Amino acid sequence: MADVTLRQDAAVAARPGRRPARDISRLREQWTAIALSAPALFLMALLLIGPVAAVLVMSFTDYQLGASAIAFIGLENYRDLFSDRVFWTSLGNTLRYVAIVVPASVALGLGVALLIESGDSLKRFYRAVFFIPVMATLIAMAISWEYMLHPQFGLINLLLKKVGLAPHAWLTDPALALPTLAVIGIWQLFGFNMVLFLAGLVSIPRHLYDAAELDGVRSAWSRFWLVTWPMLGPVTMFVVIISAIRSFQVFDTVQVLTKGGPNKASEVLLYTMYSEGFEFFRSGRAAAIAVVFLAFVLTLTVIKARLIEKRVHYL
Amino acid sequence: MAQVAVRKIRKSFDRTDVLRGVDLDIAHGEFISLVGPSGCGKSTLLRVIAGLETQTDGDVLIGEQNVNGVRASRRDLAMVFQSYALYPHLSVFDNIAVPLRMRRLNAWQRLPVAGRLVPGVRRIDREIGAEVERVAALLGLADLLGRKPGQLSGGQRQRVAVGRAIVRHPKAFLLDEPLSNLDAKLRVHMRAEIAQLHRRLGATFIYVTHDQAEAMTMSDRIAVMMAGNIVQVGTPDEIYSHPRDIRVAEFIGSPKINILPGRVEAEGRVVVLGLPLDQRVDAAPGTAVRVGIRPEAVRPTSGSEPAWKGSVGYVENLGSEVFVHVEVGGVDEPVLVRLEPSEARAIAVGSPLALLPRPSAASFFDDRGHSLPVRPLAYRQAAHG
Repeated sequence: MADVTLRQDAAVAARPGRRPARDISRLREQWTAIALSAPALFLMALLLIGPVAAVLVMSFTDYQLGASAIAFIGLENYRDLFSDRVFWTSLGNTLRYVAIVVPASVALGLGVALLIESGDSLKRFYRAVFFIPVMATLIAMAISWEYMLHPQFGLINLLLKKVGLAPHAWLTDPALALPTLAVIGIWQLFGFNMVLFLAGLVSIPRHLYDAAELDGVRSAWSRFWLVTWPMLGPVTMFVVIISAIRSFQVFDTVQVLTKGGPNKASEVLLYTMYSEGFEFFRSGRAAAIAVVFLAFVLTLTVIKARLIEKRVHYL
Repeated sequence: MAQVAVRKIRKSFDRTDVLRGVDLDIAHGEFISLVGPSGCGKSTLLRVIAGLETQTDGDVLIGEQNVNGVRASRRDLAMVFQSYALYPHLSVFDNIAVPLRMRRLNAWQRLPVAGRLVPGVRRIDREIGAEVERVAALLGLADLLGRKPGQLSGGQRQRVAVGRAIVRHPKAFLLDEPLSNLDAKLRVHMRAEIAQLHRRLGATFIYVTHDQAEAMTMSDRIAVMMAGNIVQVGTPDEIYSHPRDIRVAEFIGSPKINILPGRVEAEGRVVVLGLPLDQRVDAAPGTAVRVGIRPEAVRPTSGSEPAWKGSVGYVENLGSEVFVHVEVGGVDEPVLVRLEPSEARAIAVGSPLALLPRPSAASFFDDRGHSLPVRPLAYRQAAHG
């Protein structure tokens, strides 16, 4: 904007007293600005705002996939949804999943990042190893996990038996299904957090550690609390929010491993949305779930924007 | 407070030798400056003394105790960093309190809320608070204690960094170019403040700077470093008037010293651009020497005696003094003359000017840049004898 104003001023200065020419040049600049941003605006409308608006509208209809008739039914879908036990189970499971995955993947990511950063050798190797789950296709990885978690001949139960512990039905025990999925979620996510923390650690000025040493900080523990942790504040905030959003989106592992079972014990929001929309073809209701999901993600995003800009920035 | 000494300190990073066997003794209560061009190793030497870098070879002694294996946090030194290195998330008060809290409270007692429940912690906290406030008052920071470093100006941050260093009573203060991030006016002001602080505390100060003016104005002694070695240690006056190496002569003094080609003749007499000087050196006749003469030691002359003849190339008037650049045959760079404004009034660019050195003012260097011993002699005798 400032740039445009400047150039206008330059144009004015170059041709004093010629009003029509100035107006034309201003108009032309405005049209150029609109023309230049049009492709981006068009794509945003088509790919982001459009679909969201469509989902919002659809959530007020009784539309069913493939049906020829469509009618507005107001808040009926939402009323239905909020009186449905499956929805509340699904929402509760999703929140529980988030509550396990976020702290664990953040703590693990930070811990591993600190260990890698403090080590001298094999830094690249460790970084790559821990980052592989992030890059791998989760569906394929979920299938590998399915074999490892198999009750009879899965690697994990075999190992447990070898050390004399009782095997578990990881994915079919209602008490274990969701935590097991959460562990897979942590495994998949913490490498990403680690990379973010590594970047954050590298950007902490060395001289703060020097100052801490001269100030009499002797243990790694004190150094962490005096320098590392506060200086990682912005990164941590970012990592927590991103992890929360990503774990809210849990779907692949549920679809491959449990299909929401046993007995809805691992039913999560996106899976409910999927089954409503593509198994029962109740698109209107699926859209209502999508709106609830969007509300959560949007809230997190707003919190992130507010906190990162206001509170956790120091310099 | 204590004396500090380094013995044969060597430091290499990979294959680069940054320090090549440095020896230095710093007396108790002394203000010593390590000065030299960037990359000469002065900051590395300071970090080795602090314990932030481990020397490749050699010993560091603090108060006659060898501290080679002692980590920085146990050497009981305080340091002021070039970037100040304040903790950005802590207030001015907390920044200054950190060194006291770290030493007087253990990890449990430092816990934000639970720590205060430990018996005795409140009392220690009160003592720390009182000491922080005393230091803040001393440095004029009393009104800023609640602010974060990000809300302070450069000079204020610098004061906080100094406050954090002096709040406890360390054995010595290490200052790593503490003024280089300040603007010129503030730098001159802080120069005086730091010198005053040194007098008040009576503590050992080791001050690293690339600015020779800072070194000259503040120090008891200056150690000039070049390429990983200390070339000369002495009082500012010694360093200025009797540089032991041509690099020292060229580095110290602004504007730069004039270096003129000379030749030793019979009895050690030195002839520079056809003019015999009044000093004699211990060198064989025929030896080529380089002669250093400070700009204030060159005078214009109107007499008929032998002199360097040149023409005025450029006149810099700084108000309180005037630098005249005189093109003299036989030297590439113009000879610089520092004059009082009253003396320079008649001098115009392009006009001829004859120059004479003041008696006994020159320094002599051999082809390796080492200074040659001088035997003074009356100027008249040298000129006519």
